[in-house]
Amino acid sequence: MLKFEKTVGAKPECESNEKIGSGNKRTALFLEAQAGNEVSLNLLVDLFYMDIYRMVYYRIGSDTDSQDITQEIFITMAEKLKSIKEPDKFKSWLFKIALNKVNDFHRKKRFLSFISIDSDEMQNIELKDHQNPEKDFMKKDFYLKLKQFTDNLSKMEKQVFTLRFLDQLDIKEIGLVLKKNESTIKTHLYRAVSKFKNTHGLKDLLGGLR
Amino acid sequence: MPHINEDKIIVSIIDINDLSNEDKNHLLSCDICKEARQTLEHELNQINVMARKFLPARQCCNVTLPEKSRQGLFIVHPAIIAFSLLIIAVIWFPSPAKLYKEYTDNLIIEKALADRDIRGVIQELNEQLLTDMRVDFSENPDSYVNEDFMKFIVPVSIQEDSAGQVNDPVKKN
Repeated sequence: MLKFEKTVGAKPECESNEKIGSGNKRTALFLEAQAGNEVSLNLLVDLFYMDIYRMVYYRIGSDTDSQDITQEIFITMAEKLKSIKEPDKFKSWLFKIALNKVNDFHRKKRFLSFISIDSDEMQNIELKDHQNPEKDFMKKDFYLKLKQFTDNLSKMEKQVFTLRFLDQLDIKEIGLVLKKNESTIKTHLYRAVSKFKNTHGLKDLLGGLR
Repeated sequence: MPHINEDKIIVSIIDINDLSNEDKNHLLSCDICKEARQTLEHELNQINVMARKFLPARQCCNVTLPEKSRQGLFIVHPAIIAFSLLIIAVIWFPSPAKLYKEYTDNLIIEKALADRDIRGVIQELNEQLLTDMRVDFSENPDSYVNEDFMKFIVPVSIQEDSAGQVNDPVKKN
């Protein structure tokens, strides 16, 4: 059993993403981390933490569970970092790990609800920011409309759409995450965006924010 | 040139390089098409903006990673341990095929031994087919046929004479 001892920097805001996010620096950081440099590894975690946490959070809806899963994702990343041959594929590889962990979580939840240990559906996002009710309302509205829209998509369309517009991955990265070629990704994305354009709810909400 | 249609607007958002050069040029020059594209693109990009905005307020990067030094030579990966155990088990325990072969070999040997025993019994029976008294008879079949007995069985009167003719007392009379 591994023991966890080091806590990566607790910063009030995640600024590192912008500072070290450029391609060459990111590659250098990855190579250093792969060579065993702990500082670079921690910087790599800093760099992708919020992206991964957000990705997990909007697929699970629970802050606590999302934190745990994000932790697991980065531990897996640290353990298997040496298996990556191409630094360019690091981001998609990390998202692939994240997607697998999220799927595992859902499988476990489904099993628990099936055997009635945990009957809670993960349908409702946690709304605990009582200091700002207006923000709570908007958050809930956004989440419900996003969920409502994505529930009407096929599984593949949903994955492609959320990876592209929620997680901001490009077509090539999505292809690597889902192990599909780019034209397949574009086809599913086209269908999902067509549905988005012709569906009220989420589109109206987002259009009204201009 | 007519405005590009809704489908092409969507295609341009997904990958602008999938548009023909003509459509691309039109999109760059036509304000109406440009605005239609920008509106849809803005709405889609808002998803990420909103997602970031409504993320729970937290301190960034609250991750604890495994201590590097703990992952040295002394910590063996569980998969290696499992694989080693599997190899040992395979070497240590005979395979089902081997077990089956041993089982069938044993059966064959047992059958062969049983056959050998049966053959021995048969041979013994064959050799001692008769009781001792009967064996005496069988070894010397004429031992019990003495002259008196023969005379009783075959009377003297019908015995062949030395010349080979039969002396029949009835005919004689």
